[in-house]
Amino acid sequence: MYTRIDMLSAVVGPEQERMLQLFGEVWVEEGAIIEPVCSDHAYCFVLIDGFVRARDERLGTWLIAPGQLFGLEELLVGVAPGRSYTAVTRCTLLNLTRDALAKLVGAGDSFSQRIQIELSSLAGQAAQRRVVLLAKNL
Amino acid sequence: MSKLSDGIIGRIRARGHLAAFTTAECHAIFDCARVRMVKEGDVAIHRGRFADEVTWIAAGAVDVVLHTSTMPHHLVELDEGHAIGMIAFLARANHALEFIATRPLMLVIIERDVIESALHANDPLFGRLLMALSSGVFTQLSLVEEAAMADR
Repeated sequence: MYTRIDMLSAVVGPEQERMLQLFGEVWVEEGAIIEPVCSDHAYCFVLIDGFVRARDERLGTWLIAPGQLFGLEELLVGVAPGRSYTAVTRCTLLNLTRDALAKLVGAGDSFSQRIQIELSSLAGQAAQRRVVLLAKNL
Repeated sequence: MSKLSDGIIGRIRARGHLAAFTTAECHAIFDCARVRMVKEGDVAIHRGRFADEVTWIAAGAVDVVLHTSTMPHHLVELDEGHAIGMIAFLARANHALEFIATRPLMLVIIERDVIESALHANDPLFGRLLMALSSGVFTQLSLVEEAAMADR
């Protein structure tokens, strides 16, 4: 079902079900601001349906499409100053809390290893895209 | 047990992204590392080269250089204990940044094959290392972006 989704494609069958149990499903209306970090929570999101606009005061604006993960930086290192996410359309999202992520990667089995490999690859790709954007904007 | 001194391990741990690892765990991580020396002024990591290794600065310092279409920007200097080349390593991509030695360098390098073999063997230490590097790339990227904005 989710084989085209970043991160979720790392696992299939029962393992994917196990991972999906750690996610919450949320819906947001067009124009809503999506906040990965608030005073009492930290989330990263997988966009299932709809589009989200990311705006960063250093890097400009870009569109997040279905299947993409966002908010990982905020989940790992905290608030990214000057960055915001806005739903361009009504969106369906899966969210993952910091605690759930810790549970995912802390199991120490082959499943958690695969998740760690996938997450680190996504972190690297997100960072690499930002370096390329930075070079264009300088 | 790696060949690195506890002093070098201490400097690497002090930089943050490996702070959650004990000295013994760091020795285990660096057990298969190799050491490379680079002369001052030489390129430690070339832009455009595929990132098949992750590198720590055991001694010396590098300039992080971002090439735009018009000119190279020398953004920030990183010294002992910092990891370099992490972004492209995790992204499995070619290096977009260039690292030039501003002082003679001693680099400690772990090849991708070593990390992948450990992961294949379900060594949880290396899974934690990947997550630590994932946090580390964003912290380092913020440094680079701030320097780039100041350079505008």
